[in-house]
This record gives sequence, C-alpha cells and structure tokens, in this order.
Amino acid sequence: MTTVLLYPLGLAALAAALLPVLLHLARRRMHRRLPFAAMRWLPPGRAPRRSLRIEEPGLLALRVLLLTLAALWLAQPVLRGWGGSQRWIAVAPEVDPAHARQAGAGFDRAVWLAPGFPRLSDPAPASGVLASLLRELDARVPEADRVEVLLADRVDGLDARALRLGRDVTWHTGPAARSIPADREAGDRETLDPPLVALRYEDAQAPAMRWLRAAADAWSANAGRKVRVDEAAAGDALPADALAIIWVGEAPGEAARARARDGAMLLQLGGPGEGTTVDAAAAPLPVLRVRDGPDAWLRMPDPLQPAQYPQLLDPGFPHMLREILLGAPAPPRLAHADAFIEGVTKTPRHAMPSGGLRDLDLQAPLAVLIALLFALERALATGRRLGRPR
Amino acid sequence: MAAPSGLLPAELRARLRTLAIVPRLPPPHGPLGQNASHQRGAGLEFSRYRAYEQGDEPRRIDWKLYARSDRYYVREAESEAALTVWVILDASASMAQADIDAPERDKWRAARVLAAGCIEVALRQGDRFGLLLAGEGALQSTPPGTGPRHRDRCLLVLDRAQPSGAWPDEVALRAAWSQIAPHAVVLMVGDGFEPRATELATRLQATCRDVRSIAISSVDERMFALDGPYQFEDPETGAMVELDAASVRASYLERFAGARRELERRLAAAGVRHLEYVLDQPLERPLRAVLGEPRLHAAVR
Repeated sequence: MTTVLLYPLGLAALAAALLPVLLHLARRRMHRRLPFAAMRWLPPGRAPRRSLRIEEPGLLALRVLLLTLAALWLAQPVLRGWGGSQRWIAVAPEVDPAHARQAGAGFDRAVWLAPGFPRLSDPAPASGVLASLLRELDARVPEADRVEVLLADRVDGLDARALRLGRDVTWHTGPAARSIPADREAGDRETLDPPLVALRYEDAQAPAMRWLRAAADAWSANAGRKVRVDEAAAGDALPADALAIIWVGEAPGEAARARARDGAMLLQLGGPGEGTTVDAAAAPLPVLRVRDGPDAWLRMPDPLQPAQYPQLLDPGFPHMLREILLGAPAPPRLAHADAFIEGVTKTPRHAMPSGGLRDLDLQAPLAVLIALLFALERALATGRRLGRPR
Repeated sequence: MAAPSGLLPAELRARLRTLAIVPRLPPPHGPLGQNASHQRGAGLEFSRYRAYEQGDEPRRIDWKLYARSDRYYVREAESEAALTVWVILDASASMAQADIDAPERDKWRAARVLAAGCIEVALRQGDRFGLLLAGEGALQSTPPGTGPRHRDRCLLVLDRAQPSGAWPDEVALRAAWSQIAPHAVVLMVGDGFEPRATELATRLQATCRDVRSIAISSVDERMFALDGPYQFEDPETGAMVELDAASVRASYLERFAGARRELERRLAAAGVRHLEYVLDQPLERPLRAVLGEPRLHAAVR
C-alpha cells in the first residue's frame, strides 16, 4: 500500500508555506524609535534582540502545517493498493450479457472490457480497441490482483503486434451477443484464416527447396502471422484460395501463369537471368521482373546459393520472402479468440508503480482535515488578538 | 555685543516687567540683630527707597520721607539690596526631550527662556545674578555680576550650551557650594528626573539659601498620548525597550504621577517653592508663581 501523488506539480504550492514565517518575523520592524527621557517609569518590556525572533511559534507551526496540507491536497494524493489482493474479471462487450453476469458472480471486481472499465452491472457499452484495453487493464490493476478475461469467440480490434501482458491472465471464451458486421468480416477475411501460398517444384531435391522449407517452417511458427504453404509437384493443381505461387524450376507452368494473370503473385526460383531488375526499394530481395507476352512474374535466377544471395542467411529472410509474395502484412483486426489467446505472451514488467483502477482518493478526507485545522487556527488567532492587553 | 534676542521673546519680557523677585529669607544684615542700628546711621551705603510692601517691618519705614510725600517708603541699604540670584539649569541629556507633535519645542528651550526671564528680572531689580549649568558630568559656572553686559554674557552661555551627558557627581558639585553664598535666591530649572538635583535643592534650602524650583515635563511625558508599537530609548543611559504604547499607558501614568508627587512632597517638606510646568503652557506663569509674591502662588499648575 503506497501513497501516490497524481499531480506532483501541486507541491510547488509548498513555497506558500514560507509566507507565515516571513509574516511572523516582520513585526519586529514596525517599532518606531522614540527617545524618551522618562523611560525609568515605563513598565519593563522586551529588549530588542539583534537575532531573528519568531513570534508565537505555536500559531506559526499550525499555519505552516495548514499550508503544507493544502499543497498536498493540490497534489491529489491517492492510496494505491489498499484492500489486499482482489480478483478481477473483465468481459468483452460482445459477450452475451446473461452469460457475462453469470460469469461475473463471485469476483471482487467485475468490469466491462471497454474504455473507462464500467462495472459489469451497467449495460454493455460500445467496444474499444481490445488489445489496447487489455494492456491498459494490465497496467492499471495492482500487481498483486488476479485477472481473468472473458472473450467472445471472435475478437475484434486487435493491434499490429502480438499482445504482451505483464501478468498471467486466465482466459475464457463465451457466446457472442452480437456478431461482427458483415462488411467488416468480408474486408478482413484473409486475417481470419492465415493466407495460403502454393509451392510447386519440378525437382523435389533442388537446392532452393531447402531454403523454402526453412522459410515455411518459420511462417508456421509465427503465431500472429501464419502463412500456410501447400507444397506439391509441378503438375499438381493449384488450390483455389492461394494468394501467391512459388515455382521452383526453369519456367512456370501454364496454370501458374494463368493464376498470375488473375492477380496472384508468382515468384520463380530458377531460370535464366533475363529480366529487368526491380528497384531495391520496392523489393527486399533482388528479383527480376520477367515479361512474356501478357504475363509478368518475378524471378530469382539460379543458383539460389548464399554466395549469390547473401539474404538467404539473413534471419529476416522469411519476412522478406513473405513481403514479396503477399506484401507487407496488414495488422490483423479480427482473429479467432483461441488463436488470439494463443498469441498472448507474458513480458517482464518495468519497475513502474502499477495501479490506478482502484485507488483510494485521499482528497476528500484531507479537505475535511484542512477545514478543521483552519477553524482551529482562526479560533487561536482571534483569541490571541482579543486577549492582548489594550 | 548684542544679546541673542531669540532667547527671550519680546512679549514675555514685556509681561515680566511687573514681576519682582521677592526673597523669602530675611537679608543677611536685616532689621534684627546689629544691622538694625546701622540702618539709619552713617557709614552704611544708601541704595534706594523702596515702596512699603506688606510684610516689611514697620520700623524700617522712613518717616521723614513719609512726612514729605505722605507715602510709606522703606530705605534699603546696599547690603540689603545685594541680592544674589542664582539660576541652576539642568543641562543633562534628558532635557533634550521634545514632543512628537512639536519637535522644536523641547524642555531645554523652555528652561533657557525661564532662565533668561529670571535674569532679566534680576537685572531690572539691580540684583546680582549668576548662572550654573549642570551637564556632561560637570558644572559650568558664570560667577555673579550686574549690568546688561553681564546679562549678555549669561545669555551667550545659555545660547551656546546643549543638553547632554549626565548630572555631575558630588565632587563636581562642590564648586556650587563655594559659589552660592547663603541668603541667595536660587532658581533650579530642570525636569525633576535627577534625584541628585532634588537633593541639592533640599540641602541648599536647608543651609540658608532661598531655593525655588521649576520642574519641566513634556506633553508626552505627562499625558503619554502615544499609540502603536514603539522602541523607546533613554537618551542618558542608551537603554532600549520595545513596547506597545497604548497597553502601557495606564501603568506609566500612574508611576510617573507618583514620582512627581513624591518630588513635590520632598521639596515642600524642605521648604523649596516648587512648581510643575508642562511645555504647552505659557512661560510667564511659572516665573511669576515661583519668583513673585507668595499669595499670588495659588496652586498654579
């Protein structure tokens, strides 16, 4: 349990606490000098002292304390982490409300996974960016608390990067109350299922196959951006939903060229070194653009060895290859909940004070204390002024 | 050399023309004792004829002059008329006190005017007059003389002197005893703050001198109409004290009045004719009350 200042700049008001000290000193200067021969009949008074003298130190201390508390009030103090460890459940707004309420029973804190994290008892709000909200929840809930998340089977509003959280989260999936709009689904269809690349080879033992198989393994291991590879001999039919074709051989087959005319990307590994060089800014790998009649495709001519292509040894080679074939991967907006959950990793948290979602606001009790002390100060000051001999 | 005319205002001098210094003690060679027989004899210098005043011995009336003029005159011999008037001024630092509202009107200025007035009356009467200034721990004396030149000399001394320092101690005051002859009229002008001055007055009175006393106080000292915080400073000792004037007023007035009453009591018990004077009062009255006829001195304050 720690005290945190939400607005530490408010402590600059502590400079005002110097003012009572100066005021309590200043009275010394106000005495006017007067030569008075009949001084022996004056009652004994205070001899003027050279050193600095503070009048009424008790009242001065009270006033300094009052101004210090006021500066602290301005700095918005909150108490973080009180109440021990609590159990949270955050429910995605797409989940069926009845199921959500049932799932939320038995938890200390039940909130919607929406901006502001409203209580689960409120009606379901509009959804926000899921990944951002999950990160925010992870950052603002105290570290000691346990968090469980209930998602619908399709998650919408993902970020471009895989989600990394600082704690272990228990995931649940539930029935969706509303489905994702159809036009949205159509536009992001390729992100729902991983894209398909067809690989056709004339010679199964070609040296290029080794590099391609390694790249395919890398694609399948990348949880957030999978790419499926359909590997077959040159004569086999191409799958209907293949977005790109890799042809390992001397010349691409007719079916491949026809598919390239329809819009798929065709990359030939092998063949003569004819063709126009594609600008390095447009392609991460040194490829040639080949035209033959109405067809156009990309070619990386023989031999596909590290001596000619040092990019083969680059650990980013699978990404370069994917970029040529499919273009830069678009950030996935939609995913299946299971696939998404599978991609969530835990990252070590920075040593930053976490919390903020269940802080105890200290401003109200502090204001009451300040009011009481002010009344006491006024009573003391007035009492002293009245009690002074006239 | 011209007299410093600023010391005695002309108006005051005009009013003092009707004032006479009346000695309370019988003259040294008075009608009692062996001088009575000298009065009409030859060998004693005739000084003047003086109009008969109530209190004179009827034996001193010159009946021959009465037969001629049908008025009573008393004959004065030189030794009788040789009245010496001494003015002792307190020139210590406390006499520099003035009021906040009238800083140019300080006690020293009033003391000088009173001294000059007394000297003027003595000059007019033909008496001898001398001056003693007690300040800076010493006694500055101007031995008695007569005539306008002596008056100018005394006025010059008054003009040049400044109040400072403390009242002289016993050793310095011894000069006063040798200079002030018995039966002299002594006018002590001060502020009454110095107990040694009071003691000098009582002892002079006890040893056959006719002592009169005027104690000057400023309006602030008497009324203490100050308000607000002040840092009071004693001009003689240099001590400083910080006080709120309004809160100490009652206490101060009580103590000051008590001290004044004690002073009056002591002087009255010794036989000194004493008068309190406050700076805002006209200057003629204290002189007339202290120097003039006793019946005129009717609780003048």
